[in-house]
Amino acid sequence: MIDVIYHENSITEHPRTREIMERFPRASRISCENHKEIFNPSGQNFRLQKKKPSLILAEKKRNFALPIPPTYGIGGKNNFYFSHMLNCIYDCRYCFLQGMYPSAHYVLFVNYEDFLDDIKNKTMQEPTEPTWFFSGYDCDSLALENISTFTDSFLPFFQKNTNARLELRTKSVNITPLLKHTPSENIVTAFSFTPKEISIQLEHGVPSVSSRIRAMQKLTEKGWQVGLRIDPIIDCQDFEKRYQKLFQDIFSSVPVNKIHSVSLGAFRMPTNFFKKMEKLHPDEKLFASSLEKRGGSVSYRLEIEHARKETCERLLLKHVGKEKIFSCETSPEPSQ
Amino acid sequence: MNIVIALAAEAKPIIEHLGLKRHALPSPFSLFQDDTYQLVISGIGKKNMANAVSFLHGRRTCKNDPWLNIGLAGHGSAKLGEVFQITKFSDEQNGKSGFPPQIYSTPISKTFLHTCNQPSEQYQIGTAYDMEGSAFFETAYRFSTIELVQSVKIISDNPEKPVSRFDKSQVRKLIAPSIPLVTNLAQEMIDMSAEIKEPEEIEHISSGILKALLFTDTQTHQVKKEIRHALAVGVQTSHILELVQSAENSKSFITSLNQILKEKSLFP
Repeated sequence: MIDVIYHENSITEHPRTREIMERFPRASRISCENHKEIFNPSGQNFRLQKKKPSLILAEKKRNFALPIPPTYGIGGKNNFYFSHMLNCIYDCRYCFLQGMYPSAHYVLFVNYEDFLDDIKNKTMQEPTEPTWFFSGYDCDSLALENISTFTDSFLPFFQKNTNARLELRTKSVNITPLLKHTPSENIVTAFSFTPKEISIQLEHGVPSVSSRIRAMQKLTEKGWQVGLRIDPIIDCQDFEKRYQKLFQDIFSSVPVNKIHSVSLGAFRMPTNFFKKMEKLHPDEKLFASSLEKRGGSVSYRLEIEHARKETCERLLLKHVGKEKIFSCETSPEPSQ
Repeated sequence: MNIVIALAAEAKPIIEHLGLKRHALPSPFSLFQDDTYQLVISGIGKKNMANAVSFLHGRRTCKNDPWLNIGLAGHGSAKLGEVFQITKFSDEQNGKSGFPPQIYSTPISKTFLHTCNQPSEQYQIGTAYDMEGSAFFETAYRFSTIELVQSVKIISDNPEKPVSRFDKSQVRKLIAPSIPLVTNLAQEMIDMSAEIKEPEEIEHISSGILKALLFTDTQTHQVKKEIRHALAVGVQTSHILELVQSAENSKSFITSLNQILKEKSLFP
């Protein structure tokens, strides 16, 4: 799976680096001073690299947990996101990562301890209020768990520090590592969905909608809370019918009392990211749809965006209370 | 596919294996080709290499063609005849370095490459030495996406048998066994390059349409994009050509094409 591992010289002896290296004894190991030497050069082709990404082990030096955009969130007052990884094993055509990053290689920051120190400090800044930490913004939280051992490293902290809340955003069905732990009220595993036909066309390499629903179901059966993320909402023929079916399938399997929150997000992409994505996949059907430039973003026309969001909200209200539904508008910016 | 090799003796077994023909017209470099490959012999050193790469690009200015450098090199710890794909290159003179992305499934082993101005006998473990590699990468990177620029080195000298004792008559013997591995990598590179090139069908249809009707520059751009999308959603070429014939003008053609796109796509 991983044939080449780049590693920054500063973390060559880090226990997590050594552990990962041992897991891939046949991989070529290439040292570098800074992961940006491999990740950042111009003239790379994300689409070609996506066919066989390498793993880059690096040290995050600053900006461990960053404030989330003000229009994003699931009801908390203090909100941060953090990225222990950059890039994702899946290949969703609408994903902003391919527009934001010059490279498709996976960057894994192995110094989890520094992330946790920062998370602890930020939690202590507001001791009377819960502080939310969102993982899975620049990567999928669970998909590369077998390499990152992210949950084993982060969950114990959140289980002890219940004032710190964690969202694990994912499309993965790799929930085994989570099931090893005791469920915590302050940890939410949030699954993203589009209707089945859209997922088949746009979410390459992603587990099927039905298998993701089964993963949600299993987690709830074991006492975990889950989140539902309808983000991005993709306009399509028979929109209402397809989203109605999706919600019915989810809510007929997952008990509503175990659903922590549902969030809705429109498809919006910074124009420069979109241009790059269009260039990478000029034959992509999604980009042939009625998207328009608005401000610095490419999105559906405002009336379509509002109508589709309203439809989703109306359909969701048949299954879940209004207090659990959140509208998120994100405009991703580079976090490096 | 562009192949650049420093010496004629290194190139000869590869030219024979691929069945390339010498280019008859006069040119500053020895050039061999067929419909798929053009191979140039650059001569020794970085300046010659940079010139040869630019010369080859000038002959067929095509964006995102694959580029492969093949050649002999010294190595600090490998046996003679071992073949390596370069994962990192560095230049003795300017200190520049780079990491060619490793996206191919070739079983060729990997190594670092240090490019020197003069033949060197100061070998370091795990490092290959040549006199052209860094210039190959730096120049070819201007003409193609960096995944499509690769270098393969076959080891001709090492600390046990240093370059000063190199026997030129051994070149074929060193290179020939690696040719199947190297040509397999070349084929993979050709396949990757094809993935990101505009299909010829789109260019063919677009040029026909642009001749049939009068388009502004903006419309030309739009038409090319919409033809790409139309083919992606399964509109037949014949259907697009029928639209051109029945259109009164460029605007009505674009409107009709848009309408079909809306009807055909899952995404309105």
